[in-house]
Amino acid sequence: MITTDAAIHPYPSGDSSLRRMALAARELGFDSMVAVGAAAEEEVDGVRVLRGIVLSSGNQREVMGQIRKIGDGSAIIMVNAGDYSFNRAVLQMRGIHIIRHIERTHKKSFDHIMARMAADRAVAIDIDLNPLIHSRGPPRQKVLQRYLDIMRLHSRYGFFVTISSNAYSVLGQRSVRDAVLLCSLFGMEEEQVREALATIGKMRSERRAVEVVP
Amino acid sequence: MRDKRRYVLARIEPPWEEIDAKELYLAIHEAFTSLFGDTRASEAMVAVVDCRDGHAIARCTRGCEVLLQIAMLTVHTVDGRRVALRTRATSGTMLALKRRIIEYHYPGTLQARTVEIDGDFCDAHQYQGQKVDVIAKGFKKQELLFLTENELGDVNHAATGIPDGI
Repeated sequence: MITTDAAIHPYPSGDSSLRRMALAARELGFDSMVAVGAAAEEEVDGVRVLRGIVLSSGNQREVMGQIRKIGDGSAIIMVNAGDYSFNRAVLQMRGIHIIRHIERTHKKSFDHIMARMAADRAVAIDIDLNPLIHSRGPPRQKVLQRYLDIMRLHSRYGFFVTISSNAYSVLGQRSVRDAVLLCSLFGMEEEQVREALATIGKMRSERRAVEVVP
Repeated sequence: MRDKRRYVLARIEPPWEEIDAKELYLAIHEAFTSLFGDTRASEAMVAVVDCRDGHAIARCTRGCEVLLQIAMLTVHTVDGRRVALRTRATSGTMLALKRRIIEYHYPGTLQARTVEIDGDFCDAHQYQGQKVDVIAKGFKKQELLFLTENELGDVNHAATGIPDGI
């Protein structure tokens, strides 16, 4: 089982170099991590660094255009969630691996219909640990509520879930054990957390299995 | 009757930050109360009993140690300084955790030095072999850069600033 942190932001977005974050990830119990903005997939200090691309446009045509431009299929493509119609359109596009920041959107922007679509199309929904650590009071309560809703839908429809530290610094990275503890706040069991951390490895191996080589 | 206590050992990152035990207590207590409310905080009776050598030992009543660990995970600043608390062990005695600190602590591995980046001299701390934390003094405030020894070499050899490769 390959344990992956689904999103980290090394220098220049963050204050820590890629190598330093890889070093921290290894110490914290991860085998691989998705580095947003990384130039290519590589092995750094025993940690597999996957290339991550975040598409943050709220316009579905722009997202589609960006996916076409990226095209090579080696990167993990993540889309920031938007309103209901945008999320629904995104779930029907090919080449998207993860939808993130659902907790920032309206409660009705991800429902049982989309949960089923996500399951059918093998698109993962990301659980971001960053707001659990950095926010306080009502904003964190809202995030916890949304994660609880996601987990309810996950247990019913079985779509993929990923967990990311979304760290901009080594100080923001959390260990596998920390992820288990933080996710227990919204009722995730240890086994579910470990499964979620292994999702990217699983998705990649499944996609590789059906890849047609000319 | 005296309640049973549990002690939680955490490593403080970055280890060169000198954190005051009282400030750390305030940060942990705020995190605990924010997450679990005043009622649980009063039951847990959180205290910081030791804070030195890049490690801290926090105390709580038995049964609240998991809550304390979660609260410690959500601490990100202490007295305005950015830190991370990495919980490492839980025990019923402080002595057991103090032994662990001795195991984890490598005296002499934390070195303060000055590095030159783009013509400016910056304070830096090197530890655990290759980790280098650079304190870059910006126009308004200090900025931290977390690098490795190899990258610092690249920085020093670069004509301007930090190369894109890091």
